Parts: sequence; structure tokens; C-alpha cells
Amino acid sequence: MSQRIVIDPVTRIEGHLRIECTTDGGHVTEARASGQMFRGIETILRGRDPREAWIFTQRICGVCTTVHAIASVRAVENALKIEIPENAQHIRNIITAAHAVHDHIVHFYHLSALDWVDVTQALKADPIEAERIAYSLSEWPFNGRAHLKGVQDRLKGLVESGRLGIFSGGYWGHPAMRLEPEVNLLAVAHYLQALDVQRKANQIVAILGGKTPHIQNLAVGGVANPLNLEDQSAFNMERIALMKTLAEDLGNFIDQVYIPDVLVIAARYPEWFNLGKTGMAFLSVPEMPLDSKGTAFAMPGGYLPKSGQASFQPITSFQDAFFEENVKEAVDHSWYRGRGPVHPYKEETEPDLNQDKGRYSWIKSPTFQGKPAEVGPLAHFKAMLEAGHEPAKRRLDKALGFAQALLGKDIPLEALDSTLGRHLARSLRCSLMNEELGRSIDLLIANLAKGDTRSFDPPTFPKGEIQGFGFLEAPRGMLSHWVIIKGGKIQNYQVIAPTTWNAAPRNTEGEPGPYEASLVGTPIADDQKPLEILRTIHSFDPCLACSVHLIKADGTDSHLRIRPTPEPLGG
Amino acid sequence: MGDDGAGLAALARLKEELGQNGRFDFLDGGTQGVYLLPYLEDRECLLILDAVDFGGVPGETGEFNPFLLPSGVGPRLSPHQAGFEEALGLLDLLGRVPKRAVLVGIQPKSLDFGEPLSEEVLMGLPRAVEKSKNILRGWLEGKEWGLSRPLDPDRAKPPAR
Repeated sequence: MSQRIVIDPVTRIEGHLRIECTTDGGHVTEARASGQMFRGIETILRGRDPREAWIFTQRICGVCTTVHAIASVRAVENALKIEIPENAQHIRNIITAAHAVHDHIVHFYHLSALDWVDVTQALKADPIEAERIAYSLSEWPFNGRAHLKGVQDRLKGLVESGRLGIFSGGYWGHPAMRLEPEVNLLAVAHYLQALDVQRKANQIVAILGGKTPHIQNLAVGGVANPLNLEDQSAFNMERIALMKTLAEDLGNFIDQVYIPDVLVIAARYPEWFNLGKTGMAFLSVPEMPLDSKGTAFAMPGGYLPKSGQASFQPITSFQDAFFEENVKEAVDHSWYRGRGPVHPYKEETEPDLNQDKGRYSWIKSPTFQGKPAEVGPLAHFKAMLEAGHEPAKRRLDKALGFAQALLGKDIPLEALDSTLGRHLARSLRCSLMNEELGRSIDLLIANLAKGDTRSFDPPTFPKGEIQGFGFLEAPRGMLSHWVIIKGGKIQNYQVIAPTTWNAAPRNTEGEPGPYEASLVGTPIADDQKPLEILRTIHSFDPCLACSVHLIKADGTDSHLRIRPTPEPLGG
Repeated sequence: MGDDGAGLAALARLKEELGQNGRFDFLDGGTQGVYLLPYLEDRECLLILDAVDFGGVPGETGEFNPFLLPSGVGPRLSPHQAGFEEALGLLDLLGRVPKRAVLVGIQPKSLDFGEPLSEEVLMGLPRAVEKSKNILRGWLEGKEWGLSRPLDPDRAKPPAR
């Protein structure tokens, strides 16, 4: 019998993602993803000074703030055809990397680990056995039996007094939960440790950005950080030393806790290496620019067409014409006037709910060379492998070797295109990003040591019309901002956020977006508790406030509502 | 967000009336959720001011134990959904709860977008501020404050629209 399942969390502030799946015989046969909120930032920006656009764009979101700020100044600088001082590039890179590390750790532990970890099972664990398992996985010093027993006792206290609070409403005892009690206990202990660790990454962002979220140190033309290694009131050696220490602590946690935890979960749920595949093209951009013009990067990126269709094509500079020409957005299934793929410079964002049926989302449908594409850490990681990036390859070989030993069988490279593959790629990218974080700090010190303390070159705006784009490989994938400036004022502005790519509705050709494609074939053990759908959607790390263009203020509760619905989306 | 700002409005008045006497820290928690943990860990006392739908008359003030709130958090889809109640739960699990804690809740009338505070909530603010002052004064004098009363989940339905 065919049945419809709807997951529609309508939170009080940011009602965003609605997933509707049709199931038949215990499997998903069709899925639709819908953004339930209009963004409007582009409309606000029209007529404003392009030098302040970044302050507005980073308010698109309270989570991925810095990336919208940096992509915005990159877009305006691209339109002006200006370079920025090398110090400014390194400072932006340190922020980009610290933000990415923060985001990846928080995503795994606080947003998706509980899809795999049954917290209540941790109560049955033997802390001594948990300690033994932990030390067989890594040398992390905070896995001792006494510590684990303490976590277990506090958890017991909460459960016994009925205060499971944060963990209530989880899918405990679900048939698809399979970790042994000891691994569940380790995961809960690391969930709590990750709370402390993530602060360190945020501290780095705040040291340079003044505060977080919503940094204050950017400028079109560079950054506003005064640089003087000997001055107490400027950005000095003491602060650099603090950032180095914080980055080292983060690196230890990523390599000794985060990656091993992903691999243990992978080894216990290996069938998820075969589920959640989109079968689409992958798109990413290079990140961590090393020169003032943005033509050399520490991490490669590019376009990887659907397998067997064409070969990998790298994207190599902030001026890359291949990238600029091939990004388009369609609104054929979205609540906007118009249809067909349109280039972002020419796009309008005119909301219109009174159109033909078949439109079901506030999210537009972006394409590259006319095709939908999956973006995110997996896309970035695959591009790095294609480009022969050694640090990426080294990490993958090590991780796969480790997982194969745990699992007792081979994991083919194709297994990366999956729900688990996204988690694995994210954890490895997190480690890479942390390495780049340390390197960027060193590069900044080296450049300052040469006597170059410049961090800002004031821009001048021509009278006529100019246009530009800025991209950034953000934690959730490739982000791009597009701007048209006339007489020093913003004429048109478009943001294409990573989640817009992944949560896209069907495009002009009727092809599904990545979320929609990835869910087809997913087994569902319990229609009332569609944990399996959440596993795959979570693996993309959705951030819907970024990718929906009007606020539909019709939701008040923060419950995940799962219910049959009378009206299918896009009907 | 209409009466959702009741807590902030009360905080501003409380701050004005008590001044910076060095014995309290005032903080607008925004929507920072779990990122507020560093401000909450190992505190002596914690008073939370917020709009709480406890089924009262709009503008009415109620006192609750913040660690016994019915949790509405289920599986989350994005980082935007990690809220303040999660921060409180984690504080509990970390074993770093304050010695004394009270949630002073103000019953909202409307939570619609873009609306200012309702007349009822505006009228009710002085009572919430007075109650908060009494609790804080009591704590300074070393008094325990009754923390056992949980928010009745049956009365705490989302407001009708």
C-alpha cells in the first residue's frame, strides 16, 4: 500500500524545510523538498552601497554568517577588478577555516549523531569495556572509565528524574538503531566534549572578527584589523600564539575523536554506504586563496559531471569564466514569476503564489551547464581527489583502511557517494581545513615578518555599470554571490546558497534536486518514525534559512510533525 | 515577533532599576541557544525572563523551574533548531547547573511577525519586573527559592491563532 510521509518542522523563527515522501512496500518511491520561507535580502540590497552589502548578507543566517560576508566582499571586489593585500587574504582564510571546523564538528555531534546513537542504550554500557573500545580506536586521553562512568551517572540521573529533556523526542529503541551500549556511551561522552571543543574554533573567529556570529572586521578592499606585532592594542603576537594553541587542540579532537567516531558508526551501519546517493554531478570551488588576486589556492575545487559523461573540470580563480558562465537558476517549480534557467546577473526575484500548480517551494532550482548538482564537503572532497590533492588522498586512504579493518571487508571508492560518505568526507575535510587554519596563521606571521603590515586598500567605484561574482566553499558547499553595480549603487544582487543547490525542487526539465533524488529507494522501517529519511537529509547538513527566498508565518511549534497530508506538494 | 520580546522588555527595565551593582550579570541571550552555555555554567543563581505560554491570561506572570520544562525538541534538521531549552538540558547533563534557578514567564497574547508588544503584556511587565526583583533580593539574602514547580505540559499549548 502506498503511503505519504511528511516531515515539516515549523520552528518559531525559521520555518524552513519540508520533505514529502511517498513510500510503497517500505521504501521511498518519490520525494519532494520544499523551502517554506522567502528570504528577501536581495530586495533589501537594491539601491544600497556595495561596500555595506556584506553586513546585510551575513544576516541571511545566524549560523553561516561569515561565509556570506566574505562571499559578498569577494563579489564586489570582483566587479571592481581589484586585488586585496595578502594579509587580508590570510585573515579571511583563518576565519573561513575556523568557521568550517566549528560547523563540521557541531553538525556531526549536535545535529546528526543522534540519528545513529541511541542515548538511552548508553545506560546499559559497561564503562570498562567502553574504555577498552575507545583505546583500541585512538589515543584520545579523555576516554577513561572514570570519566565515562561520570557521564553515564549524570545521564542516569536525568532519565530517572524524567528530565531527559534535550533527548526526548528522539527515536530511541528504533529498529534501525544498532550500536552496542558501549559505543553509545562513548558517543554521548564525545557529544559533551564537542561542546567545549567547538568554542575554541569560535574563539578564533572572534579574535579576528571582533565577535561571532556576525563578524565585524571585513571591508571591500581588505580587512579592518590593524596589524602590528608589537602593539598591545593591535593584532599582535600574543593573539597569534593563542590562535595556534586553539587550532592544535581542535586538530587533536578532529583526528582522535571526530574521525574515529564517524568510522565506528560507518562500520556498524555499512548499508548506508549504499543509500542516499544522488547520482548527479558534483560542484565545488577552490578555497583558501594564497595570493592577493585569488589565482592560487591551497584547496582545489571544480565541476565533476555525472559519472561517465565527461571529465573533471577544475575551477581555478576568482575570475574563472567557466564558472561564471555556467551557473543558472530556474523557477519553474518555485513560487516566483517566470520560468526557465536564467543567469544570476539577469535574475529577478518576484514572489508569486498565484500561479499554475506544480510549484511547491520558495527555493529556486540552480543548475550548472543545465544540470542539477550536489554541493557540500563530499563534492569538495571528490574534486580534491580528482585534482590529485595529496593531503586529501592521504586522509582518505588512512580512513578507509581503518574502516575496512573494523568492518572486515573492502569499501570501494564509489561508496563515498552515499549518506555515510557525506559524513566521512565532511570529517576528513574538517581535518584538512584545520591543517589549512594552522598554515594560514603561519603565512600571516611570515608575511608580517617581511615588514608588510598592509590589510586594506580603499576601493573606488566607477560611474558606469559593472558586474561581478564571488564564491566560497562554505561548510555546506559552494556559495556564490552575484552583484550588478551602477554609479556606485547596487542594481541587482543574487545569492545562491549551498542548500539552494541541494534542496532544490525540480528544474525546468523536471529533474529532481539532490535531496529529492537521494531519498528514492530509502527503506523505512516505521512510517511513524521515518528516521531513515532524517539520516540522509542530515548527511547534507541542511541550512534552510540560507536557501529560501518570504516568511510564511503560519507555524508556531518547534515539533517535527509527521503526519499524513491531504494535499501532495506540487499537486 | 510580537510578545516574544516580553522577556527582553522586562530585562531592560530590570537592568535600569537595579543598575550595574556588580552582583548580577544581565544578558540578552538572543537566539544563540547552546552557544550561551559559557554564560550559564556553574552560576550561583540564574533568573530567566521570557515569554512563556503557560495557559495564563495575557500579561500574567508565572514562576517555573527551568530545568523541568516539557521539551518540545525532537530530531532536528538544521542548526537553527538548537534552542535555549537544549542549553539548559546540556547544563544538566554536564553537571553544571546553577545552585538556584527560576524562569519568570510572561504569558504572551500574540507571537505574530512585526507586531509590537500587546497592551496586556505591556501592562503586565511591571509585575514581572517586581517579581524578578523580589527573587533576586531573596537570593542575595541567602534565601532558597521554590524550584519544584514544573510547567504543566497540559496547560502549555501553543497559542491559538
